[in-house]
Amino acid sequence: MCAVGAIARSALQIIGFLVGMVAPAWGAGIPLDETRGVFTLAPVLEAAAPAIVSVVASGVVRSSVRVVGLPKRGQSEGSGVIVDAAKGHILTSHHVVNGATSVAVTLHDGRALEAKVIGGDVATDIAVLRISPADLTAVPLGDPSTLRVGDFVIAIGNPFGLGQSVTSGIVSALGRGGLNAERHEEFIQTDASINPGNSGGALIDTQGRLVGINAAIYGPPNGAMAMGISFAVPIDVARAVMDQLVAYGDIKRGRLGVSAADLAPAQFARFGKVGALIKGVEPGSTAERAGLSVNDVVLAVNGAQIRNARELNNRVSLIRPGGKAVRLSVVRDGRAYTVDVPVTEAQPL
Amino acid sequence: MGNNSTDIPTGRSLGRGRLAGALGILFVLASPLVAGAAGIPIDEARGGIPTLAPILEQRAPGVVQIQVSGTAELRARNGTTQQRQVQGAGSGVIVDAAKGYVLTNHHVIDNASAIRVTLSDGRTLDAILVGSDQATDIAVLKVAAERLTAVPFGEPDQLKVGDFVIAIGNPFGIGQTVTSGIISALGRGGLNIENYENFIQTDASINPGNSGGALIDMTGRLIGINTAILGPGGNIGIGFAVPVDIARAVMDQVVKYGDVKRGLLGVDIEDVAVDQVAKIGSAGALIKMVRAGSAAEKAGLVANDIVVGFNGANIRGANDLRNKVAMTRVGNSVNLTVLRNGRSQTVEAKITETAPTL
Repeated sequence: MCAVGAIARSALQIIGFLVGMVAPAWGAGIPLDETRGVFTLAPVLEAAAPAIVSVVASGVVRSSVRVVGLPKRGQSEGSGVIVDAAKGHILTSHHVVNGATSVAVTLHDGRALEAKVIGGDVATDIAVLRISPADLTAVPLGDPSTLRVGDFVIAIGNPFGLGQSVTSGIVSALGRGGLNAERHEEFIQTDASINPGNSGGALIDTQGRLVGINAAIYGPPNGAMAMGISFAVPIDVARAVMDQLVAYGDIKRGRLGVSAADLAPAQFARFGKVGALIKGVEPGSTAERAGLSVNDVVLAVNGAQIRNARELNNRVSLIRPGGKAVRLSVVRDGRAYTVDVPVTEAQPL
Repeated sequence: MGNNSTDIPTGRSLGRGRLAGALGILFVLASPLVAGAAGIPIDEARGGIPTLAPILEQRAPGVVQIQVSGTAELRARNGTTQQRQVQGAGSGVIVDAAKGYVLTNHHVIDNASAIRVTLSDGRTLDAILVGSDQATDIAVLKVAAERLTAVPFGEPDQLKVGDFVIAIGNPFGIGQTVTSGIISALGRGGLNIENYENFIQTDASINPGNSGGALIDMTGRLIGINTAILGPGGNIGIGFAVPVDIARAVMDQVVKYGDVKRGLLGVDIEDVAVDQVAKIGSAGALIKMVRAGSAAEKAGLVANDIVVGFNGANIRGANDLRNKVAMTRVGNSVNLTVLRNGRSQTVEAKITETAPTL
C-alpha cells in the first residue's frame, strides 16, 4: 500500500475519491440548482473549491516508488486543504512535502504563494503548512464519526498536476486498517477516483464539510491509479495531529501500558460487537496504577466509542502525554466503570 | 502529464498514432441522480427508486457502434514498410435523424476505407464520411435509414463542475454500455492531445471504444463527444469530452462545405492576470499585440484591450477565445465585446485570413 505519493513497497498505492449519490430522500441529499432546475453537486463545490490548493514540493528525496504522472525528479506534486483562513493553515499529506526544501502552493484563483512547513507526522501521513493569510477561504471541518458506509462523498484535488479536479463516490468502508502495521490507520475507504496528485486533497460530504484528507490508493506498486479503492485520513485524526504540530511543532504519542485484542465472536453476546479486550497490563504502568486489569473490556475513550483494539491504540496515541488523564469506560464482570488513566509517552513510530 | 494522454484507442489499432500511446482515453459516469423537474427520474413501477433508466431508454437509441476497416502502413525495424489490413471499433451519436448525421471522433475513422454503423436495434448500415477535422478530433458520418433517433444538443456553456453526467458508448467493442459520474472540470486544456482543447473532464468510466460516444446531462441532452482518457489504457476516472458546441461548429462547416476553414483574428493574447480579474469583474483574453493588416487591426482592436465576449458568450480566457475564433469559418464576421480603459464596447471583426493548417 502506498501513499498517493508512494508509501510502501508492497502492492498498493494510496489515493481515493468518491462518487455516487443517490439518496432516498432526494431533497435532503443533493442540492437543487433552481435556475437550471437540476440536482447537482455544483453549489457544494462552488463553496469548497477555493479552499483546495495544489502543492508543489521541491528538493524532495523520494524513497519509494515512482508514480506515473508525477513531475520530474526532485519535485512532488500534490494537493492541500485550507482549514484555517485567518491563520493560513493548510492540511496536506506528509508524503507530499516530506524532505522538501521549499513548498509552493497555488490557490484555486491562480495565486501562487510560498508555504512554510509547520510540521509533519509520518505515522498518520499528515503535514501542516502555513501561507500568508490574505483573502483565503477555508472549508469547514465535518465529523467523521457520523459517516456511514454508503454516504456520498466528493474528492477535490490535483491529479497528475492537471489542475483542480472533482470526483465523486460513496464511503466504501470505515475504520479501514491493517494495510501497513507500522502506521496509524483508520481510513475512510471510498470508490471516488483518486489518482497520484490527489494526495493531501479534500474528501468532503454533500454538505461541503471536510471529512478526510485523501492519502492513499490501492494498486500496483508502480504507477497505481484509480481503481475504486482509495483511502482518506479521517479529519478528526488530521486535526489532532495539526493541533499538536501548531502548538508544539512536533507530535508526542500517548500510551497506557496495556495490550488489547478485539472481542471474539463468542463474547459479542456479553459485550456487544464493539470494544477492546485488555490482554495484558504492563507492571508499573499508569494503567496498572489506575487499576485496569486483564479481561476488562474498554468501550469508550473520553466518551467516544471505540470499535476494536486498533481504535483504542489509535485514540490513545493521539493524546499528547503530560495533559489530563484519559477517561476510559470499562466493563468488568458485567458492571460498568470509568477509570482515569494518565497517558505516558510512547516510543515514536 | 502531457504525454500521458492519448485519444481513446479504438478496439483494434487503426494504424499508428493515437492508439499507440501509453494511455487511452475514455470515460464514465458515477452516479447520481436527480428527481423531479430535471432531476433524477423516479421509477414508480418499481417502488419509487431513483434511476437513470428513463433518460437512457429515451437516448440510448441515438448512440451507435462504429466498426471501421482500412489499410495502414506499418514500418518494420529494418525501415521497410508494409500495408496491413486493420480494423477498429468506436462509438458515434446520431444528431440529425432526418438527415442521418452521426458525430464521432476523427481518430475513430482515420485511415478507414469502410465504415459500418450498428444501431442499438441491431440494424447495421454503411456510413459515408461527410467530413473530418483532426484539430478538434471530430468527424461527421451519414447513414441512410428510416426510424432513426437523434440525441438533442445541450448547452455546454450552462454546465458546472459537480453536475451529474452519463456516458454511452461501446467500450472494448463489447456493446452499448452506460456509465455515470460528474463533471470534474471544465475548459481543460494543455493536454497536447488535440490542437484545440476545451475539454469537459469527467470521472465517468471511459475506456477504449468509448471514443466518439455521447456524454449527456440529466435532461438527456448531448453535451460532449467522449474523446480521450488519461491512464494506462483503461479508466482511472479522468476522461475528456469535446464540448458539443465545438463538435456542432465542425459539423456545420463540413456539412455545408465539406471541410473546416479556420479563421485568424491576428492577435497575440494571454489570460487576464488573477488580480485583474477581480478588479474588472470578469475573466477574458488580454490582447498583447495586434498584427498589421489583420482582421483585428481592421476592426480597431489595440494592445491592452481585453476581450470579454464573443458573439454574446462570455470569454473565460485566452484559450477560450482562441477556440472560438478557430470555430469561425473564414469569411464570417464576429461580434467582440471589449474592455478598453475600463469601458465596454462592441466591435465587429470580419475574419478573412485562414489559420495555417495544423
